[in-house]
Amino acid sequence: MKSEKNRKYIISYVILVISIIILGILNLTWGSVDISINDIISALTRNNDNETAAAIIMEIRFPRLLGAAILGGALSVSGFLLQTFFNNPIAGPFVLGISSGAKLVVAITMITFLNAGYILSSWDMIFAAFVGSMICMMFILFVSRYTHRMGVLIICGVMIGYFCSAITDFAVTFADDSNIVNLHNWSMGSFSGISWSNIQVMAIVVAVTTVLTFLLSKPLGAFLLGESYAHHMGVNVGKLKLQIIVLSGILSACVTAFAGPISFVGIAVPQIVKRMFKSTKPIVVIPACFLGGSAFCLFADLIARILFAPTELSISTVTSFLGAPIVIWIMLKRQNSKEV
Amino acid sequence: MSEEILKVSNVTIGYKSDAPIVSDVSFEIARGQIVSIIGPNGAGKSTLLKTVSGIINPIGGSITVDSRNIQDMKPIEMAQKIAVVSTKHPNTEWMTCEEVVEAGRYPYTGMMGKLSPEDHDIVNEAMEDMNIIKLRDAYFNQISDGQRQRVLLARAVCQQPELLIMDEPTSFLDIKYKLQMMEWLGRLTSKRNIAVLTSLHEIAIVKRVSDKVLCIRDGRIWMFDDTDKVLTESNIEKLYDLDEGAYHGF
Repeated sequence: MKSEKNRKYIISYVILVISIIILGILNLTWGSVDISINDIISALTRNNDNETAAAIIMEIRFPRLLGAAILGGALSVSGFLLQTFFNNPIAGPFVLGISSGAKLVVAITMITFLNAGYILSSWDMIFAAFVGSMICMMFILFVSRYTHRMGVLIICGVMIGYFCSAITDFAVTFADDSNIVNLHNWSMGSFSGISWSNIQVMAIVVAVTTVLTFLLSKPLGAFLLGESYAHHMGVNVGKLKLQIIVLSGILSACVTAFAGPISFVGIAVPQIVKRMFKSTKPIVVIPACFLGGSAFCLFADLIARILFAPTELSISTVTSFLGAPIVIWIMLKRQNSKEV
Repeated sequence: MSEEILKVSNVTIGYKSDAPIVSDVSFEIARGQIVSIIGPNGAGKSTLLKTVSGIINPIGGSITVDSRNIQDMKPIEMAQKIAVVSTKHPNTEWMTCEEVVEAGRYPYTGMMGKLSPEDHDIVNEAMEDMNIIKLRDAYFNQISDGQRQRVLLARAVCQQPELLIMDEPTSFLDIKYKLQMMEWLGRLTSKRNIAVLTSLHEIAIVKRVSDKVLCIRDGRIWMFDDTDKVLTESNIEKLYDLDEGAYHGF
């Protein structure tokens, strides 16, 4: 039985990795200009036969692809952490309003600093997003002290989301600067315009936080049995909760800083992954969530780019379209079976 | 090794210092002893268990386990001494019964929580003891309440505690498993010399398993003595405010 389980895990991992590779190749070839595999190989090996194709690949599509993969993975791991924290299958950075809080603080910071003629660095953006995430997270934690009903918590999160979006829209509408146009696009959520220097920063931040999350596999596994059991098994519950909040906050802040708020990936992907692996063991599920989030965002970004090319959809349009039915399906499935 | 595993001295329990639930609690449990807590609903049985297991801090007094104050112990040190089975069952997804039992090895595994062959042996033995080997690969959220209770008990045994704390351990069990549970408790205490502190509702079970009985009533320890001395019909009537002659349990 043990080896059967392990075989299932290996097969699931292989499926995830293969889908990432296939989606990666499709993301490089398809677009408003179709590029052949040969041109891609020569561009990646810096053997430039086709200058235009090489430029599109190296300056636009490849960083964008990496951005989608890294941020998608980060979002999904952040969702897994929040679901574990609240013992709630539909928790995620977007539903709980954390992404919108990050968006609000980033927008206000950008407007303030742009008016003063200062351009924000990637690190500034992440920091601003993290501050916004934490403010909303504190509010959610405050609410969760008074209710353990997951419905109430989610409704509060959604309301915070609307509230923050309203203030952000207000700020964006009245901020009078040409850069605000970018801000508006960003606040809709998109992987476009990600540069190599952005990739460097996000790769470092996401790699470190994801590895730290993975190292928490053991206490997170105990936490799945609930707070008091975790305590009785020797978990320092207060410390673990703080670690979960900070790590999930950094992960979702990083996503919001570079791609704006992206909906549903944080809820849907961890759920699909758990179902695929038929497990919630963090040591297995955390890396799988990362890979699953990468694959999901690569797929969503591919659709966003090519469906109405050259017009691009915002990434949340696609993730919502795909993710919302998945969440509804999961909830109904849980109602019907005894999977509570 | 001192004879007592648990010593509670002049402890006041409660969530707020100005509203104590039970005051001036003192008792001790020797290794291998089973002590049952009885008393009317709302008397503070669960709160007392939560205080002894370190979930709630005592308002005053001291609680020592193996001669060490529990407030000076690290969570992991506590977990190697005390295991707990609470009335509330964890809400899990996709977690097999074996995984739940394996979680009991938490205080002994390394940083990534990998189980050694010895750990697996301990898990197997505990599952055999509780007669749940067949449930090994069943999902914890898809089995019956009584089965879950046995899985959680097996998990607690895997923690190899010196003191086992249980809140209403028989409440989900049918008569067959209630009887088995009592037999198993006896074996646990004699074979592994574990002490047990448990709250119970059924006086008949209390009488059969306990070495000593602790009665809580009106915010204090009403009586703490050997089972035979505590469990008389008139004591039970007084403890639960029954009319004279209303209880014929024995």
